[in-house]
Amino acid sequence: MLRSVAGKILYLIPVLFAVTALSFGMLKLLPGDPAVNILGPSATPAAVKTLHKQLGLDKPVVSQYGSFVWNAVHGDLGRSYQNNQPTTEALKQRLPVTLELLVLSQFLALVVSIPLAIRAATKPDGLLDRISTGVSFGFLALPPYIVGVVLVLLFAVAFHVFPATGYTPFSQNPVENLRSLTLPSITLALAELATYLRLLRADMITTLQEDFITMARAKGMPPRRILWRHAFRPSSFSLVTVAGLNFGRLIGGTFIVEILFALPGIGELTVQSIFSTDYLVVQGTVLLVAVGYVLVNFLVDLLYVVIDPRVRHAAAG
Amino acid sequence: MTDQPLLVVEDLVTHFRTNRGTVRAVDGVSFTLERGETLGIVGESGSGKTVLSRSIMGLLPPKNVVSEGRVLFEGRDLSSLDAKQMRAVWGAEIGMVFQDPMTSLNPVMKIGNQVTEGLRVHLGMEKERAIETAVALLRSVGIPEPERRMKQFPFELSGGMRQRVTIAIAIACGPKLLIADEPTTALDVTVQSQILNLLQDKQRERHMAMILVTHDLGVVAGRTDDIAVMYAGKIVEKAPTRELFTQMRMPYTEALIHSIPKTDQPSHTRLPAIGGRPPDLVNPPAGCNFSPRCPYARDNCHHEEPPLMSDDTVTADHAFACWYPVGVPVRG
Amino acid sequence: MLPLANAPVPEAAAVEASPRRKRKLGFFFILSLAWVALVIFLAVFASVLPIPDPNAQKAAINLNPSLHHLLGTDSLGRDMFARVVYAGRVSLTVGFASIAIGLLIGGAMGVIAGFYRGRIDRVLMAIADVMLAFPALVFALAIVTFLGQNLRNVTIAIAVISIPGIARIVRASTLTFAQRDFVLAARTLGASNRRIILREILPNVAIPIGAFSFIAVALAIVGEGGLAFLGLSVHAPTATWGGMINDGRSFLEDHPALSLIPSAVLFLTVLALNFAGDALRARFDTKDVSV
Repeated sequence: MLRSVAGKILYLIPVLFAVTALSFGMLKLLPGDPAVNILGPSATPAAVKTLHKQLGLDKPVVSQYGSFVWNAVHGDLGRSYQNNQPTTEALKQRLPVTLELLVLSQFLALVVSIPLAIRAATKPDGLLDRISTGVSFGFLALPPYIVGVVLVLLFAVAFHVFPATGYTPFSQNPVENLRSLTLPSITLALAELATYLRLLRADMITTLQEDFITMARAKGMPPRRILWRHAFRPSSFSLVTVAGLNFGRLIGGTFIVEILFALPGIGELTVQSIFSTDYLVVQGTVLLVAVGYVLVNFLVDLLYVVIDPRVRHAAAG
Repeated sequence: MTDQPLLVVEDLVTHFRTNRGTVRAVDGVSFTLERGETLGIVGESGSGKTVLSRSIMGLLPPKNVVSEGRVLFEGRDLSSLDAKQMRAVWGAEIGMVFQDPMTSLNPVMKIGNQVTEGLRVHLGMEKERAIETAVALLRSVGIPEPERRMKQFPFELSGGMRQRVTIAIAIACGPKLLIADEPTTALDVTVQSQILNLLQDKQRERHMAMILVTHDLGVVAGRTDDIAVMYAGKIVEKAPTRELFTQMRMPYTEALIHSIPKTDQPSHTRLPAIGGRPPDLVNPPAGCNFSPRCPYARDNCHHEEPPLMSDDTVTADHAFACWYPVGVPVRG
Repeated sequence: MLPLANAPVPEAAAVEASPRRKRKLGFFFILSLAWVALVIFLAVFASVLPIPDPNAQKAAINLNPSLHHLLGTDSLGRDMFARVVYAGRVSLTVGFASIAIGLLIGGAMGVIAGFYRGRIDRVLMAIADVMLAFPALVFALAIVTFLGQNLRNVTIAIAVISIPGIARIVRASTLTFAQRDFVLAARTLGASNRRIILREILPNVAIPIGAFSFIAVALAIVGEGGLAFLGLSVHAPTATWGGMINDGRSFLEDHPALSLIPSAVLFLTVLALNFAGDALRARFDTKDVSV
C-alpha cells in the first residue's frame, strides 16, 4: 500500500511542476512588457523600471520561475497594484466564502441525489425513475448562469424570500449567512445533482442484480437495510470519486456564481482583477486554484484506496 | 409437535414470460419432506432444479412470472404470506446456501457483520451477544481463528472457507429447513466432500430438514434419505436413496447413474453420456419429455405423457414416470 | 461548467438505454435536429435575411415583442431577435470550431495511444492528465485574459480544454476496437498499421465519437456562454448569449425577458444537442445489442 502511495506522490511532482509553470508562464503571454501591462495607465518609464527590478524581470526565465515558486511557498503571491494589498491577504479573506459555497452546494447535491437515485433504482423505468431522469437531463443543459438568474428572478425578485446579492459572514450572523448562500448553493448544486443522480442510479441498478443481494433477501433482511447497507456501499465508489473530482470542476462554476450573487470570494477577486488589469493578482489566484485542484484530486485518489477494501487489498498485495 | 410434514409442495408451477415465449421452468412438482429428513434433487442444468429451490423459497423476480400450486411450510401456505411475513420465514425458518460463495457474500462487508446481521434482525440479539454467537458459529463450521476472520472481508478467505461462512450464515438463526443449491459446484474437488460432510453434521446436530440440489448424483449418494430426479421441469422419479440406485425404473435415472465415472474402471474407458440435448422449455416435446433421447422409447412415449406413479414392483415411497420402466420384465 | 474532462465515457452510460427505447431515433430526435438546424440556418444567413442590425440603437427601449421586433428590444433599443441570432453566430462558431480542433488533436492523440499502447500510450495520457490537472474555466480565463478577447482566442481556449477529455474517450473507444477480430484479420492479411488505423479503426470509432461530439459541442457552447457571462468572450458590443444574460440582470424586476430570452435559446440549443447526442449514442451502442 505504501508503495502505491509513494507512486502517486511521485506522479504528483511533475504535475505540480507543469501546473505552476503554466501559472507562471501565463503572464508572459501578454503582448509586450508585462510591467507596462500591469501598471496600465500609470506606466511611467521610472515606474516600469522599478517594477522590473521588483519582479526580477531582468533575470533569466528559469530563475524567475524559481523565485515565483519560492515566494509562493513562503506565502508571497505578489500584491495588487490597485490597492497594494498582498494577494495572500486578499485570498485569506475570500477563501472561506468560496469554500463555504463549494461545501454547501456539494452537500445539497448529494443529500438530494442519493435518496432519489436509490429510490429510482428500486423501480427502474417506474414513474419516479423516468421523471427524475428526465428532469436531471434538463438540468444538465442549464449552466449556473441561467439557473442563477432564474432563481433570482423567482425567489428574490418575484417573491422576496432570499437576497439577490450580498454576503454576510457566518461569524456575524449565521442565519443571514446561510440565507445569502442559499440561492448560490442551489444554483451550483443543480447541475451536479443531475450528474450524481445518473451515476448512482446506474451503479445501484447493476449492484441490485448481484448474487449477494439475492442472498441478503434470502436471509430475510428488510428492504431498507438491503438498499442502504448492502447495495449502497459498493455502488457509491464511483460517486465518491466523481464528487471529489468535482471540487475542481465546481471552481469554474463558483466564479460565475460569485459574480452573479456578488459574493466576495476568490472568483470575484479574479474576475475583478482581470478587468482592472491587476495581473499579478490574477496570476496569484490562478496558481492557488490550480495547485489546490491538483492536491484535491490527489487526495481523492488516495481516498479511493482507503474506502474500497478490495483496492486496499490489491494495493497491499 | 405436529405430525404433519414439514414441507409439502403441491403441483408447483413456475413459468417465465420471455420474448421467446413462456419458459416452463418448473412444470408441476410435488413432494413432501419431514423434519430432519434430507431430500436430494438431481438434474442436468436446465432441468429446473434451481428455479424449483427459488420457487419454494419464494425468491423469484416480481415481473413476468407465473406461479401456481402451493408450498406448505409447517401447514402454512407460503404464497399467502405478505412480504413482511415472508421475511420472517427467510433466514429464521428456512435457510439457503447458494452455489458460488465468491458472489453470494457481500464483497465490501466484513464477515462478522454478514453473520451477525441475521442474529440481530431475526433474534433481536444485542451486539456483543451476536458477536459471541457468530464467533461460535464460525468455529463450529470449521473456520480456524474465527475472531480474526470476523473482521476480514470475503476476498481474504479461500473458496472453501467462504462456503463455510455461507453455511454458518444460513444456519445462524436455527432454521428448520436448509436448502443447499449446488453448494459444492463452485469449489475444488478436494474441498467438496468436506463441505458436504459439514452440511450433514450440522443437519444432524440441529435436526434440520435439508434439500440438497445438485447435478451430481455422486453428491447425494449416501447423504440423502430420498432423491427426486428432475427432467425438463418435472420430477421423473423419486425414491429412497438406496432404492433409487439399486432399483431405478426411469431410463433417464438409469442413464444418469451409468454416466457417473467409476475409478475402478480401466483407464481410457469411454464415459457413457446421454445422447441428445435437454429439451426446449418453451416448446417441450409432446408426450414424455425424455422420449427424444430415450433409448427404450416406443411409439406411444412420444404422444402420451406418463404420470408419476408407483407400482407393485417397488415400495410405496418410490414413484416414477415411465411407460416402459427399466428393471422389470416388459409386459406383453 | 466546462466539464468535458469528466464527461462520461460511452460505456458507462450503457446501462441507461432500456431495450425498447433503443431502436428508433424518435420524434424528439427529429425535433432536436430541427431546432439546431434552425439556429444554424439563422446564424449563417443572418446577413442576407431581413434581420435588423443587432447593434443599432434605433428603436425605443424595452419594447415588447411585436411584428417589427419579433422579440422586442433591449435596454439600449437594440432588436432582441437580431441580437439573439447574431449571438448564435458566436456561440455556434466557437462550439463547432473548438470541438473540431479538439477532435483533430485529441482524436489523434487518443487513436494513437489506444492503438499502439505501451510507452507512447503512457506519455500521451500523462500529457492529457497534466492538461486535465488545470481547472478548465481558470485556464480558459487565463488564455483569454492574456492573449486577448477575440473569437479566435476564445475558440482556442475552449479547444485546448476539450483536448484531454476527447483524447481519453477516443482512446477508450479505440481500445475496444483494436482488440476485435477484424483488426487481427486485417493484420494477417498484411495491412500496415497506418492502413489499419485509417480503414478499420477510424470508421468504427467515428460512430460513438460522432454521437459524443454533439454533447461536446453542447458543452463548448455552455463554456463560451460562461466566459461571455463574465464578460470574457468577444468584446461588447458584439452580442453573445452569455453577455445578454448578464446585461439583462439589472432589469430582472421590470424586464426579465432581457435575460430570459437568451437563456431560453441557449438552453434549448444545448438541450437539443444533448438529446441528439444521447439518442445517437443509445442507437449505436453496440455493447448490449442482442443478436
